[in-house]
Amino acid sequence: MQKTITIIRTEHRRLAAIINCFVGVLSDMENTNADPDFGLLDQVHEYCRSFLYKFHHPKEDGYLFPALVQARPDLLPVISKLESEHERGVTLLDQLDQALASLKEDPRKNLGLYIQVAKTYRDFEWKHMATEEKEILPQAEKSIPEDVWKELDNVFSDHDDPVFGDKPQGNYENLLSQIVNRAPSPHGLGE
Amino acid sequence: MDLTTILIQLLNSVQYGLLLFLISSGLTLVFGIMGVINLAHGAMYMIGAYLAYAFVEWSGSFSVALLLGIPVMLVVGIIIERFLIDHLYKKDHLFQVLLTFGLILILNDLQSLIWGNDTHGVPIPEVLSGSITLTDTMQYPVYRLTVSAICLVLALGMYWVIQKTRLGMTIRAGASNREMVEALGINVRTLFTIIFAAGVALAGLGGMISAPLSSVYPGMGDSVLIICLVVVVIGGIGSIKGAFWGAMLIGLVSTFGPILIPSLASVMVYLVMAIVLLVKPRGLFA
Amino acid sequence: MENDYIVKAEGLQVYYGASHVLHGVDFSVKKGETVSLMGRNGMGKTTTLRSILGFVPPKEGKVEIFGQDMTGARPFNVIKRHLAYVPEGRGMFHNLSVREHLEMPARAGMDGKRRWTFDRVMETFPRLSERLDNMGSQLSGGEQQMLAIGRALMTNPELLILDEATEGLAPLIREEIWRIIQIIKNDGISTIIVDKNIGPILDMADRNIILVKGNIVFEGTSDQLREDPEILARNIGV
Repeated sequence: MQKTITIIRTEHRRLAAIINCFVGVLSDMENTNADPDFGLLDQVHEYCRSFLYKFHHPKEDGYLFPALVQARPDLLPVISKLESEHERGVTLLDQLDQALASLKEDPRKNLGLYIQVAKTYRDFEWKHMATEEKEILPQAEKSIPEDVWKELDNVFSDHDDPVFGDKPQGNYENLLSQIVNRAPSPHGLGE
Repeated sequence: MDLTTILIQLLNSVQYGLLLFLISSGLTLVFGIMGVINLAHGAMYMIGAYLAYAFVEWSGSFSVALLLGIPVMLVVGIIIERFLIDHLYKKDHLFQVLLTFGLILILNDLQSLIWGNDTHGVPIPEVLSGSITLTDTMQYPVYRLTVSAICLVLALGMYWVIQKTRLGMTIRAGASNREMVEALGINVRTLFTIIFAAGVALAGLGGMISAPLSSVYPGMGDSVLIICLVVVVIGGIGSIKGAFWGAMLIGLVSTFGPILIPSLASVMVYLVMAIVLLVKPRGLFA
Repeated sequence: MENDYIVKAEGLQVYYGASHVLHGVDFSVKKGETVSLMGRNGMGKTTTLRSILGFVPPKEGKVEIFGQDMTGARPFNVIKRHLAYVPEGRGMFHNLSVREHLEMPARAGMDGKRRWTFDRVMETFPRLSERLDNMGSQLSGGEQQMLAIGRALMTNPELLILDEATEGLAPLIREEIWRIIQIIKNDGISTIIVDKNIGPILDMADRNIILVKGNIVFEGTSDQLREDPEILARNIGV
């Protein structure tokens, strides 16, 4: 059980840190009139989209949520809401991508809009992750049977798994590392 | 003052400045890195001069005197550091001043006991005793040029060690954060002994090579100490670069000052120090 | 069994002047272990580290490093036995460049090998490779922390001690530090970690020690702490 919970929590924390850094960098950009680092913004978009939808959400949608619904049918409404929020997140990311495209065309004019969309996305993910942490994970710890947990732990710690294993894990860690090395101080290690 | 005189005095001031740098470098390093004021530093210069006198008397050769004198100065430095300076690291500056002042008195008395109170000369080595012709009206003593050359080579050597070697990095790090150097598994005590002994050896060497120029007499360390303190304060405590430029400045002022403004001759150096401190209270390169 | 211990400290009684700050503290780290040291500010975490390392010799008690009695030994003597200390505040040298920070203390590890080389540190901390000629004082807080960790790794230690390595740093930089600590652990280096962020620390630690007013009030696994949140709440207020 602990393996899976630790993995989910760590991934939430890392995503929160990325988004935190992202919004912080944008606010600084607004205040100082600095030129946007498009490469960095591309990387953040890439992290959010592929990390969430190819690595993190599949754990929840594909394994954790079904196991919890089985053990606790009463939680179906909450879980359905979370699953639909996962889909809503894709839409928001699309909007964010569009706003970034506009930003690239005219940074002065479109920075304000981009920041707004970014903050909306942040608030959305914050609320979503808070629900998962406060309402879902504790219930899962309580209610999912041990043998099911064992299965989940095995899937998520399988080094060779093409979706969850070491290779994709390494890719996302590399991307996170690139982002933190590039993001300007104090949000990251960069200039 | 004609051009020839100016040139000669310029060479003199450079030679004096370089010599001062050689002697002061040890003082500023010890003060800057180890936090210890060692007033007996001038006495090290004196010991070097008397050793040159004694060894030249005994062996007839200046080179032998240097070959023997330098290791002796290193040993003297190690002994003083281990038995005396070791106790001063955690103490306040007043305690350090009192103890090292007492050391001056002891060393001066020892010198008097061993070598008496007469002034002695040390002959310039034969091979360096001539003059070279710089212009058709100007001759300059080879020995003075040699002294400048030795000091310059040592200065460059010191620069290379401090800037380009691991020992130098460790020394500089020690000046910045002594505890962290220890926290990296490096024996800071041994480092201090090395720094102190090197400073003593340099001051002693300064005494040895200037003995033929300024003769050897009781209390010769005391006036050198004062000038070295001025150099160190002007340059900024702990800064080798500061000691260099401070020494060159004092060399210039001491040589040309008395010629240009004879009435201020004896206080010129201190006036310059006061002016520098007014503009840069912590020294030129603090 | 005895040979498994890197650090074995027993019954440490430590005083700051007349103030009795550690009361019979036992502290040990085995090869391959990650031990966390937890407690509110001023409860004795840094003092425990510093008394083991020799900066504050204990009045009573024993400190063994790799089975050798090093009680009250000088810090350099303790640390050169393949320990590395990244202190709170990072211990930068304002007058050394990034490159010099890394070159100065570099040495081979206990097995005579240099698993952590300059190049490997550059790979792990890419930002440092862009700042090699900058002085320690010119770096940002996050860069300084990376340099402090990289510098410690250049000594190829068996045990790395991290005292508040993420303090005052942005969340993403913290994540990167924890990611790097995991790499260090995977490399076989044992660690002692002091950090206020309980979650990540519980995830990484094999054993957790909680100090309250210089006394050990808990020593156990992360699972034990998760199962009974009261322990942390009562002693650390988390």
